[in-house]
Amino acid sequence: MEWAWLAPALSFIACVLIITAGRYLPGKGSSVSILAIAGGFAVSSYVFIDLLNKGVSTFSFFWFEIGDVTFRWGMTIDPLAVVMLALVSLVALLVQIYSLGYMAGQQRFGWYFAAHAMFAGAMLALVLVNNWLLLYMAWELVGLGSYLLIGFWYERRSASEAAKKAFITTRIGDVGLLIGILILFKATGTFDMAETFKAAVNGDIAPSTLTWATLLIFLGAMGKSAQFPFHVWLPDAMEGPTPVSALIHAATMVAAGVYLVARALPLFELVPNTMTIIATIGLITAGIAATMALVMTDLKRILAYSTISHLGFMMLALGSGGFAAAIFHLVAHGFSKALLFLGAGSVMHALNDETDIRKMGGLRNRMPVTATTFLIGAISLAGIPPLAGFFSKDEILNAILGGRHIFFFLLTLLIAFISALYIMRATLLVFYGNLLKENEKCHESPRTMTIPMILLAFGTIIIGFSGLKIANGYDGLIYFLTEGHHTIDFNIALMVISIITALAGTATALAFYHQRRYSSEALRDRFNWLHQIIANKYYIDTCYQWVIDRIVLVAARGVALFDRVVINDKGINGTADSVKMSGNKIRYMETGMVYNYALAMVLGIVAIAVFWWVIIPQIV
Amino acid sequence: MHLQILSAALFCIGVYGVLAKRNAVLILMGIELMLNAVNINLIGFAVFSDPQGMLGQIIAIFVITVAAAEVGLALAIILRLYRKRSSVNVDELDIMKW
Repeated sequence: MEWAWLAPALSFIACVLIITAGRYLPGKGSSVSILAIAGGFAVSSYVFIDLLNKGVSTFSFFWFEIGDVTFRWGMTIDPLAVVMLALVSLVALLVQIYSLGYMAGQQRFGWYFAAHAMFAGAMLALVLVNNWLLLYMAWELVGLGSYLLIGFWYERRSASEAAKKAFITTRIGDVGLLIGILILFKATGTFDMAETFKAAVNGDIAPSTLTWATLLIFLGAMGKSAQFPFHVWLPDAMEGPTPVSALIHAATMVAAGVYLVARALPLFELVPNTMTIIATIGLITAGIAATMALVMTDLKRILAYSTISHLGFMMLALGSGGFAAAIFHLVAHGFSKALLFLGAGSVMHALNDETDIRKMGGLRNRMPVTATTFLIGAISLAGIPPLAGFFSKDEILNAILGGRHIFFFLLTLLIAFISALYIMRATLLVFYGNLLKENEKCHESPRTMTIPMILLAFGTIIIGFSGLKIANGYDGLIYFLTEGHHTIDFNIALMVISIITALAGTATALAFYHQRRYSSEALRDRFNWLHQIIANKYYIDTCYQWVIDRIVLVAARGVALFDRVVINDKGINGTADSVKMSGNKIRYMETGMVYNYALAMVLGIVAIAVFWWVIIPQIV
Repeated sequence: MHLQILSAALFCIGVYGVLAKRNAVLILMGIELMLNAVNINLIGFAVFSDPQGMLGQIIAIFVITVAAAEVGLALAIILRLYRKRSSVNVDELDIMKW
């Protein structure tokens, strides 16, 4: 189990290898990267088995010391870390295999895999470390990997803009995280997570300090996990290759924020106000993202807003005290959403990168594997049993019911209804209906792309059951995650309610988009004002752009002006100019005539003589 | 006392020669005159202030040696200059001016 650090290390080594020697490696480096992540998955499986045998453990060793503060390299192997390790390594492995097919023939193929390997290594490191400082390092590296991969096709202006937007938006959160970590450090004198938790529980930290620290750490999670109002980067991040969207923006990086809150939950639970804020922001995020997903016409954007919405669910669950529910949903959503994104990529690959769902339809017969797996992912996301999404959503509803006001619960039900609605809408519009004439030549994707999708579909089907007590000695994922404190709750009434909500959403989608009993266009025209607001993303992007244009850029221009006029023109050039001008005046002393110089010498001697014999004695 | 006045007078005549003459050789003569004035001063001090009278005379010998060497060098420079310009007028040497 002390070899758990191999999982991230292998991927980092792969990244370095590909960058330096990529063109000589088989498959331009893709094989190295895939081997590394497969090794990571093997390590995580081994660690999982080890955990079952030996229980939780922590390893650390000394790094350096400043004054009386010791910095250590350390990792903690506990159920949360192991579950995250397994999720990240498995999804990363499948996505990388998928990328072999999707990115075949692209330029900079090797660099793609190098960035993937770096990202995988950073993410694996993030879930292992037990030290706030190392967490922040891994956090930043993950953000960097996201930036590099979103902006992979940087020749496209929109892609590089999107990468910049993603990085800057998450940066705001990162600053909050850093300040929160430093506040904790100042209050407890250590960067070790376990010790900070212990200090907080013992009451060593003042309540106001703890509130600030937790709020700022949550700010970091908000940035990375695209919570309102920092969700704006995620839809634009769809400019990156679709496997990147599947890995980073469905299953792993955005889950980092949820993981952070889950890991620091001992701290958050001590500050009820922060928990309320987390739950509220989660609810707002889930709500507005769900409504936006409903009106989007770009397939990847629908999935992106769906991701934001489900991340809102996870935060909502965490804010209600449902730690295991949130992580369960993270895993279930990770599999389902990655599957949906890979399916979308498969569709785009077949239709020459077309993403507008109005131009798709009836692809079910031409692309059976994609259609079936996509459908499985959609059903899981909608929350229909017996797939994974149903169990995890049920757990979340349970947590909300137990921990929060009934208002949260009712709104969550509504959002669940909308979730089923939009994902079924997407499925029906893409795969069912009539095949457009220009799409008649499309074909199923190659096996490197379909096999990962099949495996993910398989995972989606069985993950749901991992929550139950299906074997002797295994009491369910919830039990495992919370180390025996909770088990899965079977509230029959709740299950019925959630099933009804999901089926209602599906039925509505069928009525509108398949049977055409009602017309969605008529509904849109009737509520055009509402549709405009939602389709323009509630004008949030407009607000951000206004702030940037009027405030940030103006300030930047002012500073640039100061730099150019004062510092450059006056300070640097000015010094040189004054030297030049004084030299200009002094040069007339060089007359070139010998007797002038001789006169100067004689005058100098006279001056010295006078000084020496007349002035000095007078002073002394 | 008289030797000091003599030496001072000779020195001033030498300075006048250096500053006011156009011919380079005459400037050199002025320099020589200055050096010799200094010699007289030294000898005078040696005879009247120092009973043994050795130190001043030794320094005077040094000065004569240095003067001889320096004149050799200076005349060599003037000769080169004359070969180039066919004139030893220092007023014409104003190339290195602003």
